[in-house]
Amino acid sequence: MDALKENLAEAEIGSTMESIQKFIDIQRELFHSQIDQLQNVVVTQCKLTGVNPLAQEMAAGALSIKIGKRPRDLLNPKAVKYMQAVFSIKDAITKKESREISAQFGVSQVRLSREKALRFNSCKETEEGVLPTGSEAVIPVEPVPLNSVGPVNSEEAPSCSTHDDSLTCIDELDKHFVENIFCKMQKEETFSGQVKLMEWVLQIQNPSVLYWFLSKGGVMIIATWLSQAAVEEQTTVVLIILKVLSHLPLQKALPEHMSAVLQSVNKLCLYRFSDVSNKARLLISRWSKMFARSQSAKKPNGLRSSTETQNEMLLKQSISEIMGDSSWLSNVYNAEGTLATSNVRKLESPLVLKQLPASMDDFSKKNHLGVSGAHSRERRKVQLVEQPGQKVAGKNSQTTRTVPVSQSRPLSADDIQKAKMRALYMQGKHGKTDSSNGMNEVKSEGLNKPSPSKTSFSRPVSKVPSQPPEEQKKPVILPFKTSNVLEMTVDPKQPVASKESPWEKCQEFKIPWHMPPEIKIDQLWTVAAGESSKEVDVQKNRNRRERETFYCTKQEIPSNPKEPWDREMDHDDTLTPEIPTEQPPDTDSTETQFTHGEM
Amino acid sequence: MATTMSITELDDETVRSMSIGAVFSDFGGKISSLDFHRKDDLLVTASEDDSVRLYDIANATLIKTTYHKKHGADRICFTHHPNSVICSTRHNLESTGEALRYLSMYDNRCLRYFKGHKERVVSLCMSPINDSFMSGSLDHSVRIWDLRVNACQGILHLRGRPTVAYDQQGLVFAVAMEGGAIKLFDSRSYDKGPFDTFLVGGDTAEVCDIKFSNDGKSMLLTTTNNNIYVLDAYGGEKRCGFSLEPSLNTTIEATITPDGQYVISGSGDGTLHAWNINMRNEVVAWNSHIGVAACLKWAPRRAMFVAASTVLTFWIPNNNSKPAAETGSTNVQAGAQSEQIGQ
Repeated sequence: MDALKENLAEAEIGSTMESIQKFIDIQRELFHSQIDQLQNVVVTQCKLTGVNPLAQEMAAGALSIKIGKRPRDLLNPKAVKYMQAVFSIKDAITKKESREISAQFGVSQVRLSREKALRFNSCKETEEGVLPTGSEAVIPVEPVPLNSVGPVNSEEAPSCSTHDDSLTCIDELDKHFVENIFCKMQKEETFSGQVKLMEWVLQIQNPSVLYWFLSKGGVMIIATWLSQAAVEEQTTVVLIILKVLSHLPLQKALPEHMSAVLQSVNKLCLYRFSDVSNKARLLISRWSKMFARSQSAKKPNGLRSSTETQNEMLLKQSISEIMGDSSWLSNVYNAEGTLATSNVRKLESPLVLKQLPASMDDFSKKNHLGVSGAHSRERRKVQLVEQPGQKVAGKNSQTTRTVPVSQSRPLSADDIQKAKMRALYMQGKHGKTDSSNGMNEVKSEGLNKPSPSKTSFSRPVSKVPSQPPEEQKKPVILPFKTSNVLEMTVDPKQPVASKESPWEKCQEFKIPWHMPPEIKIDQLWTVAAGESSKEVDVQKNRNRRERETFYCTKQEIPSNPKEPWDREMDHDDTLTPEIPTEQPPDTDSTETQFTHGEM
Repeated sequence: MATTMSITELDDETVRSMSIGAVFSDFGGKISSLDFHRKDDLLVTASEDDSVRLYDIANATLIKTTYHKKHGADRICFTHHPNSVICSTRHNLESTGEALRYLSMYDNRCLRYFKGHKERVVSLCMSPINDSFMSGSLDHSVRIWDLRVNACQGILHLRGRPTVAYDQQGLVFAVAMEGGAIKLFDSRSYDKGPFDTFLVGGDTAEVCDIKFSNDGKSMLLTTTNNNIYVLDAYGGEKRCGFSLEPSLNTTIEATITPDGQYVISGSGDGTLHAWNINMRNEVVAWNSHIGVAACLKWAPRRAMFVAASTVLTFWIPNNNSKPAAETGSTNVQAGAQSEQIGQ
């Protein structure tokens, strides 16, 4: 560009056409290069700061608005809102609608193409059973279920048609089911087909068959289908899968299966349509309750393989993570669920495989959440408030349960801190500002400061018995309370002295009234009584003119007397003569004309 | 109705027989000051409940009540007209500047405002003979006024808390200043400065009250630490001094009987004491029954005194009681009362 500039400077503008033309060309090139440079600058700035510096201008250009330097030339906020609304339509419409719209415009959607491809292709036995051939867009399904689906399928594929030894005495229909379900499930790729298979599962009532289904990894396939349906917003599929999940006896399911399902179902809690999200939440709460029960039941067994333990740990953690997230996110839930979904996606990135830093305190609290059986968000909130104080104290079995678990997994100070913060946050969020955790802090600080008020100490004392972790603080607090109580009793003693009112006391000693005798004053003393007063006459005359004011009742008396008839001018205080406070030096002996003795 | 006696002087017996004859307890706050009319049987009180009340002391009845919510009522004193009083302001002094008000109880009207003081007035005294009056304020100044005009007649600057008093003849006024100095001024030529100074040495507390006896011979001083002194009015020598129990947050008041014989004083322990000035002995001590009596004044022409805290009590001699056998500071009233009630 500098070269161009130089050219420009050097070129002399002649009077010929060519020279002018050349000049113009050079200018144009210069402008183009400047624009390119500006573009580079803007792009770099945008990349570095994340903000487009020319956002206003670009938007204005898009809307064909002239934008200038004056404030009113900037984009009308209303216009901005409308623009955003237009661009966010993608989030507002359902998949179905977008498919219809794109069909109208001739744009092909991924799933549709898959459906079409399936119809044209023969039914192949694919490993995964889900991935389309030749489709470019990869649906972001959860890697975990797919991974676990794979090995299960490879195990099952050869034994697709074999009878399970454990199943005995099942009737014809069930036999048919057992023989064919997995083959069909693995083959099935269309949503409608999936729905049909799910309905078939729902028809099965025999628990042993259902257990068999679970053991063979049916849950994994269902979980995969669920996540796919959720992405494609196939509400009917989702609903029926949820029905199936509640139908299946999942307490017998393997932990790794369960954790996969948990992930998918948890995501559904934020689904667009409320009936799906409600059902999903219901399932989650039920499962956590069920798992808690199964844990306590499993405990006496003792003999468990290390993999089993590990799986259970993972499951526990996934549940706790989900429960924690769900209560964290309960405020974020909105009707659209769009904002929340993005949050959920972020939060679920630490997947089941990771060791989650959930403390056992939190875990036990969240179990109680499930134990309460709360279905709705609101009820869960209420339960959260009550439980940490009460339930933990009441159920010793749970405290014993948590202890060995915590021993196996050492908690770092960091974890404990995080757990405390989380607990505080949840309690604070649910409206109880003086939570037990807050009380703990007060206690630990206030142990050294004898507070004079009874109320601030009475609460920690009442809370102390309900918190086993704080047991060691109990003996310290109780003496404090007693000493405080002593302080309190000492103080009120003093004002108790005179209970009688002064009036009552006076009435006791009062003698009947009689006019007191006059005391004559010696005339020689010339005690004055206003003889030289002029004002007294003035007032006498005034009173003769005026009417006396009488107030019969107390209510009649005005708050203030009446104002003077005429408001006089303020006197200038600077003209006030000053009276000296020191005796004049030469008057000690001479000015003694006013002696008291001569009065 | 018993014939009103007329006595020329009190005696120990009568003083000892003084008892509560009337009680007025409907005040909404402390009574901050009270004053008798010089000639008529009238008493005016100013209270923290912003009320100014007028009483008939001969019949122990409340004549009138007025309220002064805007200004409040702090110090009060009668003028020569029986319906007109001067009242000092308690509230809103900075905004209005109306530190003193000339009020008429007759038609509940303010007659004049006297502006000048910047702070609360703590001492107020009317000249016995003419229309002058004096006010001492916490702004370390004493001002002399004339009732008829709102212009200040003279200002006196001093350090410490000012206390002012006219003598009973109206010829002299005394101003108590810092350092226990009492300066006497000629009422007619105060512009020349004081003609005499008394030093009440030995007591570093401030003088909060000065009273002159009717005979002009004695001057009674009360200090903020509840000591009272009787001085010779001419020379300023201390004739006697009495020490009372200290009282927190409130000053007590002492008063001289019209015959100049006795000094009555309140105390920080809620008792009232009476001393004979000439004998310099304590004649009697009573329980005030109203707590610490912040206001105590003997009526100018009656054998009665008034004690007030949050309750106003009139003390009158108990004619029917037999005096207790011994003199001294014994609580005689109980015995006297039981006899009285029996009749």
